Parts: sequence; C-alpha cells; structure tokens
Amino acid sequence: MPDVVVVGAGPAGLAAARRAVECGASVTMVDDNPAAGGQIWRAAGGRLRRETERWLARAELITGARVFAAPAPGRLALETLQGEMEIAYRSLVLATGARERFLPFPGWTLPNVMGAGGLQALAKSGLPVERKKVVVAGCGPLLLAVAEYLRDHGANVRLVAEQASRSSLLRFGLGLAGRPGKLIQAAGFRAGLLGVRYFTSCWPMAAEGSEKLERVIMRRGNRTWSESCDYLACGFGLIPNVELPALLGCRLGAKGVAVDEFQQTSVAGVYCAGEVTGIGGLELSLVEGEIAGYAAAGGLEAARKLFGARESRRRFADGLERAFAPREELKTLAADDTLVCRCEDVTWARVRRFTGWREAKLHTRCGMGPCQGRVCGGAVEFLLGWKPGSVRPPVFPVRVGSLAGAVPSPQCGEKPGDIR
Amino acid sequence: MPGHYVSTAGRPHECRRGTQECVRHIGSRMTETVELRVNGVRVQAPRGALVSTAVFLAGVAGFRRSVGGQPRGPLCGMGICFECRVTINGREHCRSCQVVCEPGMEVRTDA
Amino acid sequence: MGRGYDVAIAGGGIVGAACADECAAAGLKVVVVEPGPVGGGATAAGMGHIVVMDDSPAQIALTHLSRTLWTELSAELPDDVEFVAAGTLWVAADAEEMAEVERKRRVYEGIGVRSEVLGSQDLARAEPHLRPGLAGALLVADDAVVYPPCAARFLLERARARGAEVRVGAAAAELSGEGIKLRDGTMLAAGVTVNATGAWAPQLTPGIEVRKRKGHLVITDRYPGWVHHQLVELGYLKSAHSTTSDSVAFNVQPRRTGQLLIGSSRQFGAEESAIDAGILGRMLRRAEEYMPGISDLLAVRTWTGFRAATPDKLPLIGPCPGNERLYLATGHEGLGITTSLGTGRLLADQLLRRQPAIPVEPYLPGRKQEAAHD
Repeated sequence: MPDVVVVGAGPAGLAAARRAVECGASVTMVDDNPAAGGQIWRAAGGRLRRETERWLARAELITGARVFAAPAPGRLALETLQGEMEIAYRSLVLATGARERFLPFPGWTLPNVMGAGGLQALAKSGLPVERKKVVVAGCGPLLLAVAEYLRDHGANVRLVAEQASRSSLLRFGLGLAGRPGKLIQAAGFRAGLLGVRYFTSCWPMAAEGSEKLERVIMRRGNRTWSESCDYLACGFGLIPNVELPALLGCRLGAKGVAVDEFQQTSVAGVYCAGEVTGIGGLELSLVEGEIAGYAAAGGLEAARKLFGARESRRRFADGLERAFAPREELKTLAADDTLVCRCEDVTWARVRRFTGWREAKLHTRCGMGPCQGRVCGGAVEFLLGWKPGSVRPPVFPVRVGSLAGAVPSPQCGEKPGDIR
Repeated sequence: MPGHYVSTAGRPHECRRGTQECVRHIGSRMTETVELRVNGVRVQAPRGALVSTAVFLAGVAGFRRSVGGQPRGPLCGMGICFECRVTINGREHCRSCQVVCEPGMEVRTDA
Repeated sequence: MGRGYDVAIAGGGIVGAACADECAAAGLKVVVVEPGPVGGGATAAGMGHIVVMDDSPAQIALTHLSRTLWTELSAELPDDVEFVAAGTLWVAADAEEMAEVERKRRVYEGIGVRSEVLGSQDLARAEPHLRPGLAGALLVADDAVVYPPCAARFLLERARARGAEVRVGAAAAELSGEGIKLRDGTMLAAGVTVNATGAWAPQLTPGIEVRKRKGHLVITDRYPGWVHHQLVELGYLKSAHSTTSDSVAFNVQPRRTGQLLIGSSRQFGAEESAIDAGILGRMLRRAEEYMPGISDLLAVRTWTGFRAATPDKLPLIGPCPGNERLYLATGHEGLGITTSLGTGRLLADQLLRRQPAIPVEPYLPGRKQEAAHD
C-alpha cells in the first residue's frame, strides 16, 4: 500500500507528490486526464518537465483514472480505461482543482460558446484557432491568460470583456484598468496583449447564430453592440471541485474544503491542497501542495517553514477574488426560456418557481443529468443562493460494471494483492 | 479528392492528394498523425490529439443533440460538462475531450 | 368555525396526495401538511412501477384496483408525469420458474388481468439485451411506469383546485384525534386526521408496526430502446418476503427518457441513507447476470430510500383501533406508487361511509398481523 495517494496531478498535486517523495514516502498519483499537468499545465511541456523530472520516476502515476467512490475507509475506487480498480492509502492528498462557473444567458448553449478555460484547454489539445475571431468574456485573471494563449496561437482576439468594474479592480490596486498594460503586467502577462481591447463593466448579453455561434451581443453601460465571432470563451470565475472530499466526509468552509494549517481536512489522514480549498491561483496552489505533501509524509517541520509564504499568497489571492467577483447584473441575463440545466434542458422559468435545490431537482430533473449538477449547480447557487446537496457515489458517472465491482474489503486493505 | 482533412500546426485544410501520398507528404514535414474517421470522413489528427480535436478538424461544430434536440458542442474542455459526447467505436456517451485519438477509430456525432 | 377542516393529512408524498385528491373530490375540506418537497420521501426514491402484484389475494385486489385507477387517470396526467404503459415481463430463468409463470398466468386470468406467456425465443425478441438461455417470461402488458414526484404534485394540485389547502414547508409534530399540531405550535383542527408519512409514520403514531426497509437504485444515461418493458425476476417476491436478511433482486425499468433504472435491494435495520457499496454491488451484479451488456452503460446517479414495511406485507388503510378520528394510510412497502390511488379511494370510502371499492378488512389497522412468509 502506498504511504501517500495524491488525487489530481495538477500543480498542487504534483507539488504534494514531490515533497512526499522527497520525505521518503511511497507515492501514487492519480489523475483523470490522459496526462499530468491539470488544467494550467495542460500540454505544458517544458515547465512540467522541469518541475517533475527529478522526482517523478520515484512515484507511481496513474493517468486516465477517475476516482468515483470510497467503498471503505482508507480505500478509493477508480475507473480506468481498462475497468475498475481500487487503491488503498495511509494518507490521502486531494488536489482535485476547480472548474469554471458558467452563468446562463440567451444563446449560451450554442456550439462554439465555451468556457474561457474551456476554449484554452481545447485549443491546447489541437482545436484550430488561427485566424479565428474570438471574444473572451466573464471574470478574472484567467481571461487574460486565455487571451494571451489564443493570441500566441494566431487567433484574432476581438475583445476581452471583464464584468468587474474599473473601480473594483482599482480597489484591489491593480492599477488603472483603463490602461490595460498595468493590469496585464500586474497579472504577469506579456505586452503582446496590448492592442487587444480590454473593457471593464462589460459582459455578454446574448450569443446568436443558427446552428452555431455567429455573433455575441455585448453590453457596457448603456451601450450594446454586436461582435461577430467564431468562438466565445466565457467563464465567470472558478468553483472548487469539492465533491470527492465531501464524499469522504470532509467538512466544507465558505470557500472550499476546510483545512487546518497543515492542509489536513476534518478527516484524519486526508489533506486538501490547491483550488479545492478555495480559489487562489497557481502560486498559492503550489505552496499548499508542498505543505500537504510534507504533512502527509510526516515532514511537519518542513511544512511549517512554508506557512509564511502561503499566508502572503493567500492574501493576494483573496484580494483578487474580491476584485473580480461576479456582479449582481449577471443575475438578470437569463430570459425565461434560457436553459439553466443543459443536461436535461430545463429553463430558467421552470427552475426558479421552486424554493430549493432538492425540490427543483425532483420536479424538473435539473441537476440530475450526467454532469451531476457541476454546470448548472454553480449557476443556480449564484442566481438563487441554493447550496448543493449531499454527495453520493459515483462522484462521477462511471460504467455500471465499475460501480458493481467496488466491493468493500472486510478491513482496511493490508493485502498486497489488492494494490495495483 | 475531397474526403479528408489535414491539420498542419493547427491549420486545417482539405487535402487534394490521395491518402497514401498525403500521409507520406505530411510525415516528412511534421509530427506523426493518426488517421481516424468522423461520420465516415477520414481525418488526420496529430498524434496525441483528443477525439474532440478530430471532430473539429472534420468541420463539425455540433457534436451532439440535447434532449430537446438542440445542437451542442464542447463547453468546459475538461471532462465535466458532458456536452462533447460522441460515439466511439460503437460505444455511446464517450466524452471526446477525454479520449486520445487512435488509428482506425470510428467516431460518430449526432445528426 | 367548529372543527376547521374535515380531513387533515400529514404527508405530501404520493399516498397523502392521492388521499387529498379523493377527499377533495368528495367535497371534504382538506389540509395537507408536508415539510419537505412534495413527493420528497419514498415517492422520490421509488421506481414508479405500476404493477398488479399477486403476492396475496388482498394485495392483488388492491394493486388491480389501483392499476385500473391509474389507467383511467393516465389521459389527464401532464407530460412530466411520464406515464408509459411499458408492461412488465416476469422473467423465468429455468423450468421451475416457468412453472411459476404458468401459475401466475392462471391467477391473473382468474381476476381478469391480461397476461401472456412468452417462450425463450419470443422473450429474446422482446428484449434482445437479456442473456441467452432464459426459459421465458410472463408479459403483463397493461402494467405501467410513471415519474412519481410529478404524479404526487399533479394530485395535490388537483386537490387544491377543488379547495384543498396544501402547506409545504410545514412539519407535523403531533397527530391526535383533534387534528395536526405543527412544529411551530399551530394547531390545525380537523374532524379526522390521516397519517400518510410513510417510513416516519411510527414517529407520529407510536406503536404502529411499520419498519423502514432500505432500498438502492441506480439510474443510467440515456439509451433509448435498450429495454422496452419493466423486467423483474421471479425471485423478486422471495426478496420482498424476507424479513431478516439483506436481499437483492433483478429489476430494471426503462424510463421515457431512455434512461434505465436498475434495482432492487432490501435491508432491514439500516437506518442511514448512505449508499452501501456492498449491497449496491450485489444488486448490480445480479442485474449483470440477466443483462450482461448493462455493465457498459454509464451509471449517472445512485440513491437510497426507505420503504414503509409491515409484517404481513399489506398497507394500513383505516382508523386506528381506539381512535376513530385518527386514520392511517401507510405501510405500502414497495407498492406505494401503484397502490396510492387505491389507498386514496379506500380511505375516502371509509370516511364517507360509502360501499368500499374492494373489501377493506385486510388493510385495517389493528388486524392480526402475522408475517406472511419467511
């Protein structure tokens, strides 16, 4: 049995695994993507190699594997391309990251309307963007990262529309948003983005097109106008992927999974690091991962040395969140016939008639589709304040055969034959 | 002859060469490609590309139909929205953004 | 104002809703009290299978009456109730079970329920995804499938249209012959009070013999046409009868959406609603034995629910012994959706002192209950 299992091989997970390995622990990493790197380091090549080459050979990495259940204490059930397997652990680090928050507006379900991170991820996997017209919209520094990536790959980025107001960004001290250069430099991006229109207090009103996106109607103050485009990369911030920690019984705080100073959750031996404890960006994810990795492997002194770095990165991240928070006007974008639940085609008019999530789910099936409420849940929480309910296995849809195979063992797996 | 698309450094174009010649031609210029079929149309995708890429290269924007019959395409790019589902080698409901292209794959999108 | 309401019903699940509907239709002044979402208890968790079940003469009478009422109602049901007369196939694995199929057919014939024996080949044609080598099945073509929470809501809305008051978000704290006392202290005075709270019924009426019987279900993604009928193994009743051990039985249902609902499991003494991986696995492996291809379908959600089980497998419909003003409408075990309509009818019959649609004696609270089997 590995000493430490790390779920999620993005920046936080890799940082945790590395430190655990350096402490002499046996480490197994699990990730659902075809390759390590998470979202930020997807197809990152150089940086990823540099970060991992010295220690990755001393750990086990299982890719294409999705954790879907916890059939017994100390055990996780995974689905891989080959089928179902179980893995036992002494300590567990959950670095399951975050997903984008999608808010509904007319036309948001058209093909070629994607998340901001979504379009970037697809482009990194080969979606051709050269000479395509792209509008990037929504909230947060992610929009700039996406715009930069797209520009670097030959896309015609028409506009970056940040819904936050100029004063909101100023309050954080991001410099004058009217001079995007300052903002861009503060957020660490290259000058190559200068020349792309960057509007604050600007958001999409509607996406239009017959079988796919053809144009977006943008709004800024009193002005609305039409932007013809091939892709709309639109995301309204990030939501932590707390489902697996919740399934394991970890207590949730206001921002994500609640952890102590060693990144340990309310469940002994289970640690969380990175965006899943609260959206905080790459640098914070890395240091949280390191602390969790040290702590999970028993290196408490080494972990303590990083507390200061974590604190300062956390303060920066908190400010960033406040500056870019989605504004009230975004609650008015959906029309009666705008879909809120894409899996089950449930409209805004139908959903908002109910007084709570459970009632709405039961009577409309909103949130009962394959995405298990990951897309509509974030929207509904923002629009109506409804909190997601309890989590049950499978935490992610899996083959019936995989669900059938997750048999609990009589005791916490000490049998070497079980470990694969 | 029309019938297959080629992607060169992210730039798709319809290829007028015969397949054999095309593969040799490309092979000499860029990284290896993988040939698969999307709705019966041959597509050359870069080795390691995801099936979603292949579907885009085939010029398809609507990967599937929603329960209400609307056209849908990928949204999240990270495997959680389920809007990119296609049928791969007869198996339905595969998230194309999570599956790597393999030679000879048969990919079908909804009409 | 005298006694306030004529009937106060605790529980807005499908049974409470059906009772409200029947009472309001008869001109009674009704109030329904429901703390959680309408149909949020076992109504939300169950399969929504409308079936004539031949477990005992009393059960067959109640389910037959109820199925007839459902069929009559079906034309009025809104689209989101998803009523489909999919039919049931009772699947026989071997010659011994085929003999049981023939026995069932005779019973159904005796009461006028249409059924047809399918041999091995006809069964394979009817349901190609069943494994080869099964002996055959009994087709009960007029059995149906509904989506229960929306059915409960429809019945309550119809009751409301006839003057019933429905208080959602109100929890009953005490039931007496005087009415329902809510948790916030409000007293809803009524001539008659009905306990239709399912697995929670003993909390409000201590001493009634209703036990929680936990069940698991799994729903898949959409595979239209993969299964056409509700498929139930003949061993299902053995599982339903067992009063002690945990048991599973093959039970698969096609929903109108094309999703498959996979069941079924039964456990006594399991008070937590958490998923039990062990019995879930057993249930799914049982399903795989009958339909091997089911392994490859995508399972989207799992959930549990608590059936309200009585010792003799029959519900409690009628007044509490010693308290003519407190009625029970609970204890429906796995047949709550089906028999909700019959329950409402029989309850109203008793309240109004009408000739009951079928004899009510087998369902009266206070009857001598022996465990029917096991």
